[in-house]
Amino acid sequence: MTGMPGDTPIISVAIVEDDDEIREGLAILISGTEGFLCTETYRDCESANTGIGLSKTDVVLMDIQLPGMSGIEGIGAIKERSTGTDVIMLTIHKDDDLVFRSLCAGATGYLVKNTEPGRILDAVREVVNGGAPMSTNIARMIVNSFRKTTNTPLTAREAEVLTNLCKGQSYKMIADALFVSEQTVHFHIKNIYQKLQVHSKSEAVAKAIREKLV
Amino acid sequence: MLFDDSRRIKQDFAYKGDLKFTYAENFFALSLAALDYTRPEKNMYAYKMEGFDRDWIRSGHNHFARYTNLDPGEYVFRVKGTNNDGVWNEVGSSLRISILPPYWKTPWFRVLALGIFVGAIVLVHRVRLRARLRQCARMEQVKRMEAERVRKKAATDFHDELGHRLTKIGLFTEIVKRKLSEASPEILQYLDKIIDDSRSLTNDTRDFIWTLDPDKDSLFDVAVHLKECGEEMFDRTGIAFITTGISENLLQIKLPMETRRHLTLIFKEGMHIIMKHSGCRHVTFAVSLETECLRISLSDDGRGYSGADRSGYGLQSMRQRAEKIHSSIRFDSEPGKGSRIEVTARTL
Repeated sequence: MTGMPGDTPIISVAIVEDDDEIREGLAILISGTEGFLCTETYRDCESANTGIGLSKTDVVLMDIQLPGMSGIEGIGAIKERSTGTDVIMLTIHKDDDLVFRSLCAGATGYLVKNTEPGRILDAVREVVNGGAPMSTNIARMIVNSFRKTTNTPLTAREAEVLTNLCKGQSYKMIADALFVSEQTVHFHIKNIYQKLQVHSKSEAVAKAIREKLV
Repeated sequence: MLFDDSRRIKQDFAYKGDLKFTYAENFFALSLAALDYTRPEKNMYAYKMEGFDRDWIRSGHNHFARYTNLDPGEYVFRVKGTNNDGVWNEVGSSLRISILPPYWKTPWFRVLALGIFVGAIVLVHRVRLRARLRQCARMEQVKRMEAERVRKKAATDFHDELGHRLTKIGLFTEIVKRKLSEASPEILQYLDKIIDDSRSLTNDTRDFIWTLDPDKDSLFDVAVHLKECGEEMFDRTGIAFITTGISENLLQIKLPMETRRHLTLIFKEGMHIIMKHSGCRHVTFAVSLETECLRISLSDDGRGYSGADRSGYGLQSMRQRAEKIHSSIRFDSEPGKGSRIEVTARTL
Protein backbone atom coordinates (compact mmCIF):
# COMPACT_ATOMS: atom_id res chain seq x y z
CA MET A 1 0.00 0.00 0.00
CA THR A 2 1.21 3.44 -0.88
CA GLY A 3 1.15 5.53 2.28
CA MET A 4 -0.46 8.94 1.89
CA PRO A 5 0.50 11.50 4.52
CA GLY A 6 -2.31 12.00 7.03
CA ASP A 7 -4.70 9.80 5.13
CA THR A 8 -5.71 6.14 4.97
CA PRO A 9 -3.41 4.26 2.61
CA ILE A 10 -4.59 4.08 -0.98
CA ILE A 11 -4.93 0.64 -2.49
CA SER A 12 -3.30 0.41 -5.91
CA VAL A 13 -5.02 -1.94 -8.34
CA ALA A 14 -3.94 -3.36 -11.69
CA ILE A 15 -6.44 -4.96 -14.06
CA VAL A 16 -5.69 -7.74 -16.53
CA GLU A 17 -8.77 -8.24 -18.72
CA ASP A 18 -9.03 -8.74 -22.44
CA ASP A 19 -12.42 -7.07 -22.93
CA ASP A 20 -11.67 -3.35 -23.49
CA GLU A 21 -15.02 -2.12 -22.22
CA ILE A 22 -14.99 -4.13 -19.01
CA ARG A 23 -11.35 -3.22 -18.38
CA GLU A 24 -11.91 0.51 -18.89
CA GLY A 25 -15.20 0.44 -16.99
CA LEU A 26 -13.61 -1.23 -13.98
CA ALA A 27 -10.68 1.19 -14.13
CA ILE A 28 -13.01 4.21 -14.09
CA LEU A 29 -14.96 2.76 -11.16
CA ILE A 30 -11.91 1.88 -9.14
CA SER A 31 -10.15 5.16 -9.66
CA GLY A 32 -13.41 6.99 -9.01
CA THR A 33 -13.74 5.43 -5.57
CA GLU A 34 -12.08 6.95 -2.55
CA GLY A 35 -9.20 4.86 -1.22
CA PHE A 36 -8.55 3.12 -4.54
CA LEU A 37 -6.39 3.90 -7.51
CA CYS A 38 -6.22 1.90 -10.69
CA THR A 39 -2.59 2.23 -11.63
CA GLU A 40 -2.33 -0.07 -14.62
CA THR A 41 -4.48 -1.97 -17.06
CA TYR A 42 -3.33 -4.79 -19.33
CA ARG A 43 -5.12 -6.76 -21.98
CA ASP A 44 -3.00 -9.90 -21.50
CA CYS A 45 -0.68 -11.66 -19.06
CA GLU A 46 2.39 -11.29 -21.22
CA SER A 47 2.38 -7.51 -20.95
CA ALA A 48 1.17 -7.59 -17.34
CA ASN A 49 4.07 -9.74 -16.11
CA THR A 50 6.80 -7.20 -16.65
CA GLY A 51 4.76 -4.13 -15.74
CA ILE A 52 3.33 -5.40 -12.44
CA GLY A 53 6.70 -6.78 -11.36
CA LEU A 54 8.17 -3.32 -11.61
CA SER A 55 5.37 -1.35 -10.00
CA LYS A 56 4.63 -3.57 -6.95
CA THR A 57 0.87 -3.08 -7.17
CA ASP A 58 -1.19 -4.05 -4.08
CA VAL A 59 -3.87 -5.99 -5.94
CA VAL A 60 -4.19 -7.45 -9.42
CA LEU A 61 -7.68 -8.19 -10.72
CA MET A 62 -7.03 -10.98 -13.20
CA ASP A 63 -9.41 -12.46 -15.73
CA ILE A 64 -9.15 -16.25 -15.75
CA GLN A 65 -9.69 -16.80 -19.44
CA LEU A 66 -7.30 -14.67 -21.43
CA PRO A 67 -5.95 -15.02 -24.93
CA GLY A 68 -2.41 -16.41 -24.87
CA MET A 69 -1.13 -17.10 -21.39
CA SER A 70 -4.09 -17.92 -19.15
CA GLY A 71 -4.78 -15.99 -15.99
CA ILE A 72 -3.86 -19.06 -13.94
CA GLU A 73 -0.42 -19.28 -15.52
CA GLY A 74 0.00 -15.55 -15.04
CA ILE A 75 -0.36 -15.75 -11.24
CA GLY A 76 2.97 -17.51 -10.71
CA ALA A 77 4.95 -15.01 -12.73
CA ILE A 78 3.44 -12.06 -10.89
CA LYS A 79 3.95 -13.61 -7.45
CA GLU A 80 7.57 -14.36 -8.35
CA ARG A 81 8.35 -10.76 -9.21
CA SER A 82 6.26 -9.18 -6.52
CA THR A 83 5.52 -11.38 -3.51
CA GLY A 84 3.40 -8.79 -1.71
CA THR A 85 0.90 -8.50 -4.54
CA ASP A 86 -2.49 -10.14 -4.02
CA VAL A 87 -4.04 -11.64 -7.13
CA ILE A 88 -7.84 -11.77 -7.27
CA MET A 89 -9.38 -13.73 -10.10
CA LEU A 90 -12.32 -12.41 -12.11
CA THR A 91 -14.60 -15.23 -13.16
CA ILE A 92 -18.02 -15.92 -14.57
CA HIS A 93 -18.47 -19.19 -12.66
CA LYS A 94 -17.68 -19.09 -9.01
CA ASP A 95 -17.54 -22.82 -8.30
CA ASP A 96 -15.46 -23.56 -11.29
CA ASP A 97 -12.54 -25.93 -11.33
CA LEU A 98 -10.64 -22.98 -12.83
CA VAL A 99 -11.21 -21.02 -9.64
CA PHE A 100 -9.83 -23.88 -7.59
CA ARG A 101 -6.78 -24.15 -9.85
CA SER A 102 -6.22 -20.41 -9.53
CA LEU A 103 -6.25 -20.73 -5.75
CA CYS A 104 -3.76 -23.60 -5.99
CA ALA A 105 -1.58 -21.44 -8.22
CA GLY A 106 -1.43 -18.64 -5.66
CA ALA A 107 -4.51 -16.46 -6.10
CA THR A 108 -5.80 -14.92 -2.87
CA GLY A 109 -9.41 -14.75 -3.88
CA TYR A 110 -11.92 -14.64 -6.66
CA LEU A 111 -14.81 -12.43 -7.71
CA VAL A 112 -17.75 -13.22 -9.91
CA LYS A 113 -17.54 -10.63 -12.69
CA ASN A 114 -21.11 -9.56 -12.48
CA THR A 115 -20.81 -8.71 -8.80
CA GLU A 116 -22.20 -5.30 -7.93
CA PRO A 117 -19.31 -2.81 -8.36
CA GLY A 118 -19.59 -1.70 -4.74
CA ARG A 119 -19.07 -5.28 -3.60
CA ILE A 120 -16.11 -5.75 -5.92
CA LEU A 121 -14.37 -2.86 -4.17
CA ASP A 122 -15.31 -4.23 -0.75
CA ALA A 123 -13.87 -7.60 -1.68
CA VAL A 124 -10.62 -6.00 -2.86
CA ARG A 125 -10.37 -4.06 0.40
CA GLU A 126 -11.05 -7.22 2.41
CA VAL A 127 -8.31 -9.18 0.63
CA VAL A 128 -5.81 -6.38 1.17
CA ASN A 129 -6.69 -6.35 4.87
CA GLY A 130 -6.02 -10.07 5.21
CA GLY A 131 -9.40 -11.49 4.28
CA ALA A 132 -9.90 -14.50 2.06
CA PRO A 133 -13.20 -15.58 0.53
CA MET A 134 -13.97 -19.29 0.40
CA SER A 135 -17.27 -20.80 -0.75
CA THR A 136 -18.65 -24.12 0.44
CA ASN A 137 -17.76 -25.89 -2.79
CA ILE A 138 -14.24 -24.50 -2.89
CA ALA A 139 -13.80 -25.63 0.73
CA ARG A 140 -14.85 -29.14 -0.32
CA MET A 141 -12.42 -29.17 -3.24
CA ILE A 142 -9.64 -28.20 -0.81
CA VAL A 143 -10.61 -30.92 1.65
CA ASN A 144 -10.55 -33.48 -1.18
CA SER A 145 -7.18 -32.27 -2.34
CA PHE A 146 -5.68 -32.64 1.15
CA ARG A 147 -7.39 -36.00 1.67
CA LYS A 148 -4.96 -37.57 -0.80
CA THR A 149 -1.97 -36.85 1.44
CA THR A 150 -1.32 -38.97 4.49
CA ASN A 151 -0.14 -36.28 6.88
CA THR A 152 -2.16 -33.13 6.49
CA PRO A 153 -0.25 -29.87 6.80
CA LEU A 154 -3.30 -28.21 8.37
CA THR A 155 -3.47 -27.41 12.06
CA ALA A 156 -6.43 -28.68 14.08
CA ARG A 157 -7.99 -25.22 14.04
CA GLU A 158 -7.60 -24.81 10.30
CA ALA A 159 -9.13 -28.23 9.74
CA GLU A 160 -12.02 -27.22 11.98
CA VAL A 161 -12.61 -24.01 10.04
CA LEU A 162 -12.53 -25.98 6.79
CA THR A 163 -14.97 -28.60 8.08
CA ASN A 164 -17.39 -25.91 9.15
CA LEU A 165 -17.11 -24.21 5.77
CA CYS A 166 -17.97 -27.53 4.14
CA LYS A 167 -21.13 -27.58 6.23
CA GLY A 168 -22.14 -24.32 4.61
CA GLN A 169 -21.48 -22.13 7.64
CA SER A 170 -20.72 -18.46 7.20
CA TYR A 171 -17.56 -16.85 8.56
CA LYS A 172 -19.59 -15.26 11.30
CA MET A 173 -21.15 -18.57 12.34
CA ILE A 174 -17.71 -20.20 12.40
CA ALA A 175 -16.27 -17.34 14.43
CA ASP A 176 -19.10 -17.67 16.97
CA ALA A 177 -18.78 -21.45 17.15
CA LEU A 178 -15.01 -21.34 17.71
CA PHE A 179 -15.17 -18.32 20.07
CA VAL A 180 -12.85 -16.28 17.88
CA SER A 181 -13.24 -13.10 15.85
CA GLU A 182 -14.13 -13.10 12.17
CA GLN A 183 -10.69 -11.64 11.60
CA THR A 184 -9.17 -14.80 13.06
CA VAL A 185 -11.29 -16.96 10.75
CA HIS A 186 -9.96 -14.94 7.81
CA PHE A 187 -6.44 -15.47 9.10
CA HIS A 188 -6.96 -19.24 9.22
CA ILE A 189 -8.41 -19.31 5.74
CA LYS A 190 -5.51 -17.33 4.33
CA ASN A 191 -3.16 -19.88 5.90
CA ILE A 192 -5.20 -22.72 4.40
CA TYR A 193 -4.81 -21.11 0.98
CA GLN A 194 -1.05 -20.80 1.47
CA LYS A 195 -0.77 -24.44 2.50
CA LEU A 196 -2.91 -25.42 -0.47
CA GLN A 197 -0.46 -23.64 -2.77
CA VAL A 198 2.59 -25.29 -1.21
CA HIS A 199 0.75 -28.61 -1.25
CA SER A 200 -0.29 -28.36 -4.91
CA LYS A 201 3.21 -27.26 -5.88
CA SER A 202 4.77 -30.26 -4.13
CA GLU A 203 2.07 -32.50 -5.56
CA ALA A 204 2.79 -31.17 -9.06
CA VAL A 205 6.52 -31.75 -8.55
CA ALA A 206 5.88 -35.25 -7.20
CA LYS A 207 3.64 -35.98 -10.15
CA ALA A 208 6.27 -34.75 -12.61
CA ILE A 209 8.93 -36.94 -10.98
CA ARG A 210 6.60 -39.93 -11.00
CA GLU A 211 5.80 -39.47 -14.64
CA LYS A 212 9.43 -39.15 -15.65
CA LEU A 213 10.28 -42.33 -13.77
CA VAL A 214 7.58 -44.32 -15.49
CA MET B 1 -32.85 -128.47 -29.52
CA LEU B 2 -30.46 -126.58 -27.23
CA PHE B 3 -29.09 -123.12 -27.20
CA ASP B 4 -25.88 -122.62 -25.48
CA ASP B 5 -24.46 -119.29 -24.67
CA SER B 6 -21.35 -120.38 -22.90
CA ARG B 7 -20.67 -116.95 -21.58
CA ARG B 8 -23.96 -116.25 -20.05
CA ILE B 9 -25.72 -119.53 -19.67
CA LYS B 10 -23.60 -122.09 -18.04
CA GLN B 11 -26.23 -124.80 -17.93
CA ASP B 12 -26.14 -127.17 -20.86
CA PHE B 13 -29.83 -127.71 -21.35
CA ALA B 14 -32.58 -126.33 -23.45
CA TYR B 15 -32.85 -122.77 -22.57
CA LYS B 16 -36.30 -121.34 -22.62
CA GLY B 17 -36.71 -117.69 -22.17
CA ASP B 18 -35.26 -114.51 -23.38
CA LEU B 19 -31.72 -113.41 -23.85
CA LYS B 20 -30.81 -109.83 -23.27
CA PHE B 21 -27.66 -108.26 -24.56
CA THR B 22 -26.41 -104.75 -24.28
CA TYR B 23 -25.50 -102.84 -27.45
CA ALA B 24 -21.83 -103.73 -26.83
CA GLU B 25 -22.54 -107.45 -26.77
CA ASN B 26 -24.07 -107.65 -30.24
CA PHE B 27 -21.36 -110.00 -31.41
CA PHE B 28 -22.10 -113.57 -30.54
CA ALA B 29 -22.32 -117.17 -31.69
CA LEU B 30 -25.01 -119.62 -30.81
CA SER B 31 -24.13 -123.27 -30.57
CA LEU B 32 -26.87 -125.60 -31.78
CA ALA B 33 -27.50 -129.25 -30.99
CA ALA B 34 -30.28 -131.53 -32.16
CA LEU B 35 -31.39 -134.02 -29.58
CA ASP B 36 -30.45 -136.97 -31.61
CA TYR B 37 -27.34 -138.53 -30.35
CA THR B 38 -27.19 -141.49 -32.70
CA ARG B 39 -24.74 -139.82 -35.00
CA PRO B 40 -24.62 -136.21 -34.01
CA GLU B 41 -22.13 -135.35 -36.77
CA LYS B 42 -24.82 -136.26 -39.30
CA ASN B 43 -27.35 -133.83 -37.85
CA MET B 44 -28.06 -130.78 -40.01
CA TYR B 45 -29.34 -127.37 -38.96
CA ALA B 46 -31.22 -124.39 -40.34
CA TYR B 47 -31.74 -121.16 -38.47
CA LYS B 48 -33.15 -117.74 -38.92
CA MET B 49 -32.89 -114.55 -36.88
CA GLU B 50 -36.28 -112.95 -37.37
CA GLY B 51 -35.77 -109.24 -37.66
CA PHE B 52 -32.39 -109.68 -39.31
CA ASP B 53 -32.36 -112.68 -41.67
CA ARG B 54 -34.82 -112.75 -44.47
CA ASP B 55 -34.59 -116.48 -45.12
CA TRP B 56 -33.62 -119.55 -43.32
CA ILE B 57 -29.96 -120.22 -43.30
CA ARG B 58 -29.00 -123.75 -43.89
CA SER B 59 -25.79 -124.37 -42.09
CA GLY B 60 -25.50 -128.07 -42.91
CA HIS B 61 -23.56 -129.94 -40.27
CA ASN B 62 -22.13 -126.74 -38.81
CA HIS B 63 -23.76 -126.22 -35.46
CA PHE B 64 -22.73 -122.59 -34.86
CA ALA B 65 -24.80 -119.54 -35.71
CA ARG B 66 -22.72 -116.36 -35.66
CA TYR B 67 -24.04 -112.85 -35.60
CA THR B 68 -22.11 -109.67 -35.58
CA ASN B 69 -23.29 -106.12 -35.33
CA LEU B 70 -26.93 -106.65 -34.69
CA ASP B 71 -28.74 -103.38 -34.29
CA PRO B 72 -30.46 -102.86 -30.98
CA GLY B 73 -33.94 -104.25 -31.10
CA GLU B 74 -36.12 -107.28 -30.57
CA TYR B 75 -35.26 -110.54 -32.42
CA VAL B 76 -36.59 -114.04 -32.45
CA PHE B 77 -34.04 -116.73 -33.23
CA ARG B 78 -35.56 -119.84 -34.75
CA VAL B 79 -33.76 -123.05 -35.37
CA LYS B 80 -34.68 -126.44 -36.69
CA GLY B 81 -32.65 -129.56 -37.21
CA THR B 82 -32.60 -133.03 -38.71
CA ASN B 83 -31.75 -136.40 -37.29
CA ASN B 84 -28.93 -138.45 -38.77
CA ASP B 85 -31.33 -139.58 -41.49
CA GLY B 86 -31.92 -136.04 -42.68
CA VAL B 87 -35.51 -135.83 -41.45
CA TRP B 88 -36.41 -132.23 -40.52
CA ASN B 89 -38.02 -131.46 -37.23
CA GLU B 90 -40.26 -128.69 -38.57
CA VAL B 91 -41.31 -127.50 -35.09
CA GLY B 92 -37.86 -126.47 -34.12
CA SER B 93 -37.19 -124.15 -31.26
CA SER B 94 -37.08 -120.42 -30.75
CA LEU B 95 -35.46 -117.91 -28.52
CA ARG B 96 -36.24 -114.25 -28.02
CA ILE B 97 -33.20 -112.09 -28.14
CA SER B 98 -33.27 -108.47 -27.31
CA ILE B 99 -30.34 -106.22 -27.85
CA LEU B 100 -30.68 -103.22 -25.62
CA PRO B 101 -29.96 -99.94 -27.25
CA PRO B 102 -27.13 -97.83 -25.82
CA TYR B 103 -28.36 -95.15 -23.43
CA TRP B 104 -27.99 -92.53 -26.10
CA LYS B 105 -30.43 -94.37 -28.30
CA THR B 106 -33.07 -94.75 -25.63
CA PRO B 107 -36.22 -92.64 -26.00
CA TRP B 108 -35.92 -91.07 -22.59
CA PHE B 109 -32.37 -90.03 -23.36
CA ARG B 110 -33.44 -88.54 -26.67
CA VAL B 111 -36.25 -86.61 -25.01
CA LEU B 112 -33.85 -85.40 -22.36
CA ALA B 113 -31.21 -84.48 -24.94
CA LEU B 114 -33.79 -82.66 -27.02
CA GLY B 115 -34.97 -80.86 -23.91
CA ILE B 116 -31.43 -79.83 -23.03
CA PHE B 117 -30.77 -78.76 -26.60
CA VAL B 118 -33.95 -76.66 -26.78
CA GLY B 119 -33.22 -75.30 -23.31
CA ALA B 120 -29.73 -74.34 -24.36
CA ILE B 121 -30.99 -72.58 -27.48
CA VAL B 122 -33.57 -70.69 -25.45
CA LEU B 123 -30.93 -69.78 -22.88
CA VAL B 124 -28.43 -68.60 -25.49
CA HIS B 125 -31.15 -66.62 -27.16
CA ARG B 126 -32.18 -65.00 -23.90
CA VAL B 127 -28.60 -64.22 -22.95
CA ARG B 128 -28.00 -62.65 -26.35
CA LEU B 129 -31.27 -60.79 -26.17
CA ARG B 130 -30.39 -59.47 -22.75
CA ALA B 131 -26.92 -58.46 -23.94
CA ARG B 132 -28.47 -56.66 -26.88
CA LEU B 133 -30.97 -54.93 -24.62
CA ARG B 134 -28.15 -53.92 -22.30
CA GLN B 135 -26.20 -52.57 -25.21
CA CYS B 136 -29.25 -50.63 -26.39
CA ALA B 137 -29.70 -49.24 -22.90
CA ARG B 138 -26.03 -48.30 -22.78
CA MET B 139 -26.23 -46.59 -26.14
CA GLU B 140 -29.38 -44.86 -25.03
CA GLN B 141 -27.58 -43.66 -21.92
CA VAL B 142 -24.59 -42.45 -23.91
CA LYS B 143 -26.97 -40.59 -26.20
CA ARG B 144 -28.77 -39.10 -23.25
CA MET B 145 -25.52 -38.05 -21.61
CA GLU B 146 -24.35 -36.56 -24.87
CA ALA B 147 -27.62 -34.64 -25.20
CA GLU B 148 -27.26 -33.51 -21.61
CA ARG B 149 -23.69 -32.43 -22.25
CA VAL B 150 -24.66 -30.50 -25.38
CA ARG B 151 -27.55 -28.88 -23.55
CA LYS B 152 -25.33 -27.95 -20.65
CA LYS B 153 -22.63 -26.63 -22.96
CA ALA B 154 -25.14 -24.52 -24.90
CA ALA B 155 -26.68 -23.24 -21.69
CA THR B 156 -23.26 -22.47 -20.23
CA ASP B 157 -22.17 -20.60 -23.35
CA PHE B 158 -25.37 -18.61 -23.25
CA HIS B 159 -24.88 -17.90 -19.57
CA ASP B 160 -21.28 -16.76 -20.15
CA GLU B 161 -22.29 -14.45 -22.95
CA LEU B 162 -25.21 -13.11 -20.96
CA GLY B 163 -23.02 -12.66 -17.90
CA HIS B 164 -20.48 -10.80 -19.96
CA ARG B 165 -23.05 -8.39 -21.39
CA LEU B 166 -24.79 -7.90 -18.07
CA THR B 167 -21.46 -7.20 -16.42
CA LYS B 168 -21.07 -4.35 -18.89
CA ILE B 169 -24.60 -3.07 -18.33
CA GLY B 170 -23.95 -3.10 -14.59
CA LEU B 171 -20.61 -1.35 -14.93
CA PHE B 172 -21.82 1.33 -17.30
CA THR B 173 -24.95 2.04 -15.28
CA GLU B 174 -22.83 2.35 -12.15
CA ILE B 175 -20.48 4.78 -13.94
CA VAL B 176 -23.43 6.83 -15.19
CA LYS B 177 -24.86 6.85 -11.68
CA ARG B 178 -21.62 8.19 -10.25
CA LYS B 179 -21.25 10.84 -12.92
CA LEU B 180 -24.83 11.92 -12.28
CA SER B 181 -24.46 12.06 -8.50
CA GLU B 182 -25.91 15.59 -8.56
CA ALA B 183 -28.88 14.52 -10.67
CA SER B 184 -32.41 14.19 -9.41
CA PRO B 185 -33.14 11.22 -7.13
CA GLU B 186 -35.73 10.10 -9.65
CA ILE B 187 -33.08 9.41 -12.30
CA LEU B 188 -30.88 7.63 -9.80
CA GLN B 189 -33.82 5.52 -8.76
CA TYR B 190 -34.30 4.33 -12.35
CA LEU B 191 -30.62 3.61 -12.71
CA ASP B 192 -30.84 1.47 -9.60
CA LYS B 193 -33.75 -0.38 -11.14
CA ILE B 194 -31.67 -1.12 -14.24
CA ILE B 195 -28.87 -2.43 -12.05
CA ASP B 196 -31.28 -4.55 -9.98
CA ASP B 197 -32.97 -5.99 -13.03
CA SER B 198 -29.76 -6.87 -14.81
CA ARG B 199 -28.50 -8.49 -11.63
CA SER B 200 -31.62 -10.56 -11.06
CA LEU B 201 -31.51 -11.58 -14.70
CA THR B 202 -28.00 -12.95 -14.23
CA ASN B 203 -28.99 -14.67 -11.01
CA ASP B 204 -32.02 -16.30 -12.63
CA THR B 205 -29.91 -17.49 -15.53
CA ARG B 206 -27.34 -18.82 -13.08
CA ASP B 207 -30.11 -20.71 -11.24
CA PHE B 208 -31.38 -22.10 -14.50
CA ILE B 209 -27.92 -23.27 -15.56
CA TRP B 210 -27.45 -24.69 -12.10
CA THR B 211 -30.59 -26.84 -12.31
CA LEU B 212 -29.45 -28.15 -15.71
CA ASP B 213 -26.12 -29.32 -14.32
CA PRO B 214 -26.36 -33.13 -13.99
CA ASP B 215 -23.53 -33.13 -11.43
CA LYS B 216 -25.47 -30.97 -9.00
CA ASP B 217 -28.08 -33.61 -8.31
CA SER B 218 -28.21 -33.93 -4.54
CA LEU B 219 -30.00 -32.28 -1.66
CA PHE B 220 -26.57 -31.05 -0.55
CA ASP B 221 -26.19 -29.07 -3.77
CA VAL B 222 -29.66 -27.56 -3.33
CA ALA B 223 -28.87 -26.59 0.27
CA VAL B 224 -25.50 -25.03 -0.59
CA HIS B 225 -27.00 -23.20 -3.55
CA LEU B 226 -29.79 -21.77 -1.41
CA LYS B 227 -27.31 -20.89 1.31
CA GLU B 228 -25.24 -18.91 -1.18
CA CYS B 229 -28.34 -17.22 -2.60
CA GLY B 230 -29.35 -16.30 0.95
CA GLU B 231 -25.94 -14.96 1.90
CA GLU B 232 -25.85 -12.83 -1.21
CA MET B 233 -29.41 -11.60 -0.76
CA PHE B 234 -29.11 -10.66 2.91
CA ASP B 235 -25.57 -9.31 2.66
CA ARG B 236 -25.51 -5.67 3.83
CA THR B 237 -29.19 -5.68 4.72
CA GLY B 238 -28.62 -5.80 8.47
CA ILE B 239 -30.34 -9.18 8.52
CA ALA B 240 -28.21 -12.09 9.73
CA PHE B 241 -28.58 -15.19 7.57
CA ILE B 242 -28.00 -18.42 9.49
CA THR B 243 -27.91 -21.97 8.16
CA THR B 244 -28.23 -25.20 10.08
CA GLY B 245 -28.20 -28.86 9.19
CA ILE B 246 -26.11 -28.73 6.03
CA SER B 247 -23.77 -31.71 6.01
CA GLU B 248 -22.26 -34.03 3.46
CA ASN B 249 -24.85 -36.66 4.47
CA LEU B 250 -27.22 -34.72 2.25
CA LEU B 251 -25.13 -35.79 -0.74
CA GLN B 252 -26.82 -39.20 -0.55
CA ILE B 253 -30.24 -37.74 -1.23
CA LYS B 254 -30.47 -37.52 -5.01
CA LEU B 255 -33.16 -35.25 -6.38
CA PRO B 256 -34.57 -35.00 -9.88
CA MET B 257 -34.13 -31.76 -11.80
CA GLU B 258 -37.73 -30.65 -11.34
CA THR B 259 -37.53 -31.09 -7.57
CA ARG B 260 -34.29 -29.14 -7.35
CA ARG B 261 -35.76 -26.34 -9.44
CA HIS B 262 -38.99 -26.04 -7.47
CA LEU B 263 -37.25 -26.29 -4.09
CA THR B 264 -34.84 -23.54 -5.11
CA LEU B 265 -37.63 -21.30 -6.36
CA ILE B 266 -39.82 -21.86 -3.29
CA PHE B 267 -37.07 -20.83 -0.89
CA LYS B 268 -35.74 -17.98 -2.99
CA GLU B 269 -39.27 -16.62 -3.12
CA GLY B 270 -39.46 -17.09 0.65
CA MET B 271 -36.23 -15.15 1.12
CA HIS B 272 -37.53 -12.34 -1.08
CA ILE B 273 -40.71 -12.09 0.94
CA ILE B 274 -38.78 -12.00 4.21
CA MET B 275 -36.39 -9.36 2.93
CA LYS B 276 -39.15 -7.12 1.61
CA HIS B 277 -41.84 -7.48 4.25
CA SER B 278 -40.67 -9.03 7.50
CA GLY B 279 -38.42 -6.37 8.96
CA CYS B 280 -36.63 -9.14 10.81
CA ARG B 281 -33.09 -9.32 12.21
CA HIS B 282 -32.40 -13.02 11.80
CA VAL B 283 -33.30 -15.51 9.10
CA THR B 284 -32.62 -19.21 9.61
CA PHE B 285 -32.44 -21.67 6.76
CA ALA B 286 -32.54 -25.21 8.15
CA VAL B 287 -32.33 -28.60 6.52
CA SER B 288 -32.98 -31.75 8.47
CA LEU B 289 -32.93 -35.30 7.32
CA GLU B 290 -35.17 -37.62 9.29
CA THR B 291 -35.70 -41.34 8.93
CA GLU B 292 -38.38 -41.12 6.29
CA CYS B 293 -38.59 -37.52 5.29
CA LEU B 294 -36.62 -34.40 4.77
CA ARG B 295 -37.60 -31.05 6.19
CA ILE B 296 -36.41 -27.74 4.84
CA SER B 297 -37.46 -24.58 6.58
CA LEU B 298 -36.94 -20.85 6.47
CA SER B 299 -37.86 -18.85 9.52
CA ASP B 300 -37.48 -15.26 10.62
CA ASP B 301 -38.02 -13.16 13.74
CA GLY B 302 -39.82 -10.35 11.95
CA ARG B 303 -43.27 -8.84 12.30
CA GLY B 304 -45.11 -11.86 10.95
CA TYR B 305 -48.53 -11.80 9.33
CA SER B 306 -52.03 -12.89 10.18
CA GLY B 307 -54.04 -15.65 8.54
CA ALA B 308 -55.89 -13.11 6.41
CA ASP B 309 -52.69 -12.08 4.66
CA ARG B 310 -51.87 -15.60 3.77
CA SER B 311 -53.35 -15.42 0.27
CA GLY B 312 -50.91 -12.72 -0.74
CA TYR B 313 -47.13 -12.60 -0.74
CA GLY B 314 -46.78 -15.22 -3.43
CA LEU B 315 -47.63 -17.98 -0.96
CA GLN B 316 -50.00 -19.44 -3.54
CA SER B 317 -47.26 -19.99 -6.11
CA MET B 318 -45.06 -21.58 -3.46
CA ARG B 319 -47.90 -23.94 -2.56
CA GLN B 320 -48.34 -24.89 -6.21
CA ARG B 321 -44.64 -25.61 -6.58
CA ALA B 322 -44.70 -27.81 -3.48
CA GLU B 323 -47.62 -29.76 -4.92
CA LYS B 324 -45.76 -30.30 -8.19
CA ILE B 325 -42.93 -32.04 -6.37
CA HIS B 326 -45.32 -34.06 -4.16
CA SER B 327 -44.30 -32.46 -0.94
CA SER B 328 -46.26 -30.56 1.65
CA ILE B 329 -45.70 -26.96 2.61
CA ARG B 330 -46.70 -25.16 5.81
CA PHE B 331 -46.82 -21.49 6.55
CA ASP B 332 -46.82 -20.58 10.23
CA SER B 333 -47.01 -17.01 11.36
CA GLU B 334 -48.64 -14.72 13.84
CA PRO B 335 -48.38 -10.97 13.95
CA GLY B 336 -45.34 -10.05 16.00
CA LYS B 337 -44.02 -13.57 16.19
CA GLY B 338 -42.07 -13.98 13.00
CA SER B 339 -42.86 -16.49 10.29
CA ARG B 340 -41.86 -19.92 9.17
CA ILE B 341 -42.10 -21.82 5.89
CA GLU B 342 -41.54 -25.54 6.04
CA VAL B 343 -41.42 -28.00 3.17
CA THR B 344 -41.62 -31.69 3.99
CA ALA B 345 -40.96 -34.40 1.45
CA ARG B 346 -40.80 -38.15 1.81
CA THR B 347 -37.46 -39.62 0.99
CA LEU B 348 -38.55 -43.25 0.86
